[in-house]
Amino acid sequence: MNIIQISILAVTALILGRLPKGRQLALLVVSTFVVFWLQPVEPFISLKFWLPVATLTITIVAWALTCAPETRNWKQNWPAIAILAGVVVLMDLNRYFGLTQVYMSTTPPVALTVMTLMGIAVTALLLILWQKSRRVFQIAALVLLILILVFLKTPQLVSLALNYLASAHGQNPDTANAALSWLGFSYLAFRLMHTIRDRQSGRLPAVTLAEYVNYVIFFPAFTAGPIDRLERFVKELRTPLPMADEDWIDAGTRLFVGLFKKFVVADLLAVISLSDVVVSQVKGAGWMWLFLYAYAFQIYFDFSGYTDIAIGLGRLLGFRLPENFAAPYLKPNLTQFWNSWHMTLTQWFRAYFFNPLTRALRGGKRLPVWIIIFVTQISTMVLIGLWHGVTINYVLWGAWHGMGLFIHNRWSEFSRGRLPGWTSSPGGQRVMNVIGVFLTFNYVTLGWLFFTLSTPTLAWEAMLKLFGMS
Amino acid sequence: MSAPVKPWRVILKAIVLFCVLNIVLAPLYPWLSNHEVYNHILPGRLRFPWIQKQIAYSVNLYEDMDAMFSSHILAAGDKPADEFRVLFLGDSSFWGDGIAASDTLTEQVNRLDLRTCRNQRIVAYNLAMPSLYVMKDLLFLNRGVQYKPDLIVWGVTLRSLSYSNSNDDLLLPSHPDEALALITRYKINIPTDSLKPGTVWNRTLWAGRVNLRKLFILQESGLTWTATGIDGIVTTTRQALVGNDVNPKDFNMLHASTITAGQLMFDVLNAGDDLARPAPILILNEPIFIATGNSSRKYYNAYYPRTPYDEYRKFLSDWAQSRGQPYIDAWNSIPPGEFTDTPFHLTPDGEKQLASILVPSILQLSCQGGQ
Repeated sequence: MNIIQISILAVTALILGRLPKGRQLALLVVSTFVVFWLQPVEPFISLKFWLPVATLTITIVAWALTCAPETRNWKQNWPAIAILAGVVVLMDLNRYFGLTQVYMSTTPPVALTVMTLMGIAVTALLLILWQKSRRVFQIAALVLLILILVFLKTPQLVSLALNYLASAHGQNPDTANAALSWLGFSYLAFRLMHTIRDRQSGRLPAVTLAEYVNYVIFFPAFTAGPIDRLERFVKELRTPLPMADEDWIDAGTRLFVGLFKKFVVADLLAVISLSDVVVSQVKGAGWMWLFLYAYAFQIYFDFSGYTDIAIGLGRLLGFRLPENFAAPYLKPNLTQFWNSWHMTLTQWFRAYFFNPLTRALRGGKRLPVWIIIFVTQISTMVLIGLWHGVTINYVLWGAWHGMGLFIHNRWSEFSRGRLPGWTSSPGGQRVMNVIGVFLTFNYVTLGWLFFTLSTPTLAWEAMLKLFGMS
Repeated sequence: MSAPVKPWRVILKAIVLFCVLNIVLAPLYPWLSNHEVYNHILPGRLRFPWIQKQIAYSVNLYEDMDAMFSSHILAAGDKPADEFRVLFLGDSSFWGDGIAASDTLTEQVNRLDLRTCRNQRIVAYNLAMPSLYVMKDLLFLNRGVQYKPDLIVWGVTLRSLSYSNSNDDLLLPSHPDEALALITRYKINIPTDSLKPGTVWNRTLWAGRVNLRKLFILQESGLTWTATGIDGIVTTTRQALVGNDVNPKDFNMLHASTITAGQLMFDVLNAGDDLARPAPILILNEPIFIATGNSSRKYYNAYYPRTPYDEYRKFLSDWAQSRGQPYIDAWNSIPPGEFTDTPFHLTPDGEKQLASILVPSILQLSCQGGQ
């Protein structure tokens, strides 16, 4: 999102937040529109229409698979159905309106869109009615979401698919070299998986289609999180938080702080951030450290800036979105770092992967504790790495953090009662804290080498240069 | 207990503060343009900042000549007594498009460690910018003379000397007052429609926010410039491999079967000669890539048909002869294999060869006069 788009969304949020009635449906209209509006232009322009349609389709199907009996009736859901279909058709009709400043005008034929919508409606209806095989469908949906995620995050697969599409459309395959950006899918998939898993375990609250879709594509958090939980979100959707004068100030402050972090601090740091080009050109360890630190702060200010913007926009709408960052670079160990960096993602993985895996390993054959910790930490962090992209570098980044968490865990265990007495005095604790912050920050920063550089060879070359060995 | 905060009062205060800051801090920008980290904390650049893509350590800041000069090594300090200062004006060929800053023509000259007959060190400075328009060179010269040059080397080619090229320039519309003053003073015959004098609004922080951002980026990229010595994209393209068959429909091709002397901006060269005095100006007709493929009987390359280019060379030579202007016609002096991605851009070896062509004239001119 650029500043103009954010400004438009802020004004929209301000208006929606003040609506005395109909806020939920108005929010649905805006969020659905935003899914189309913000979708980047793809190598194949028709994807700018079909990817948002796919987003809505997957969301509706997921609702059909997770909705409680009391929220299935037509009376409750027809306004949402009308809005979703209406926005899709309206976007499609831009081929006649030609409002190119708002949306592309090369949309598909309306008949095709209407048939697609009817197909989605029939599918959703069948899934609602076909209660007997619901659990199978839920598992199939989880698998499908993971497969799509893997596909989108694997550059080679995306390239293959785009080449195929290019050939099928009689285009030069070279035009398909650009990456495929399905706006918001990484977060969408996690929200949907959360609802499906919670439905399976019986923890999901009963929500209407409007509430469900609003949760999944809530426009402030759609592109970059945070990943909220449905039960918390729905409470504020049904009863908006009261807005006192101080709350407006808080919301505005958060928004401006976010804009400043993203568009001033992060964008300026980006100029001197570590990159493939820098690694091959820089001579001298000191410069390498400077550019690596610049990257560490750039990624923090960029991401936390977006989160501030999302939270500020949410606040204007009467929501209090969960925090994603809590001064992560000032944490004295890696465990605390991961409790304060992209917190909602970490919580998601803890709830749906780490904890179940730990329980499974503890429940079966009795394994030594350190092995359980090693396996769970490494696998969770590698999965988090893979969520960013299916490449060796992200695997190495995840493994780096998994190893760091494991070492910290073992060190904590080992050092308990073994540290000299002065370390428990207030002054000693401060010293230990400073040392911990220094070590943790630098460990995390070194890990960014794997994250930002494109190949393990480059990351290794950078590592050698950092320590004056190249 | 503190009074509750009223949002409308916050907004009102913000608007007032914004307006006040715009007025109070308006002089800040020119001050910043003249006080950069370059030449103080970090070494100055060997050439003006210029970049096509943001993958190297620079930024385009043609809107701000002050900032361009402040970042340049020329502004590092007073001219040493034992220095014979040579300023190079020209287009992307002199700037060194596609080659490292350390391989440009000026650095090739500096590498030779030349001395004048009075044992002064000959030091060349690159004041070229990738734009084919001699009027922008005149603007640089107007600033450059403040740095007490002893000699100017001015690279020109048919495109840069053509009046028809005036619409492509970026520097002049960004410095309308300075450009208009030169145009009026020297009665230069170019259109001035795009040159709107600056207003108070132009000087506000808000109006200059984009340039301010670029100025900050320029300072930051000084770190990467210092760390790598790289300020542009280094290309490996070779014109000889790809350009032998000239496409007459190339969008760069000059669409004229013949030209007249009146179509060339000799008035700008005359103005430059006057402006630089007492420093002499050595005019160089830049080398061009000469194709040998199918269309080469009619075209020299993707820019120039043979006839108008030959006419241009004759007009330029006649003009130099009539004024006694130091002049080198190097049009065919560099082998085709030393050109990179355009008919003007040279490899480091090509620049080195061009430097060796220039050196005798530089040495000769450096020993003339009483300086």
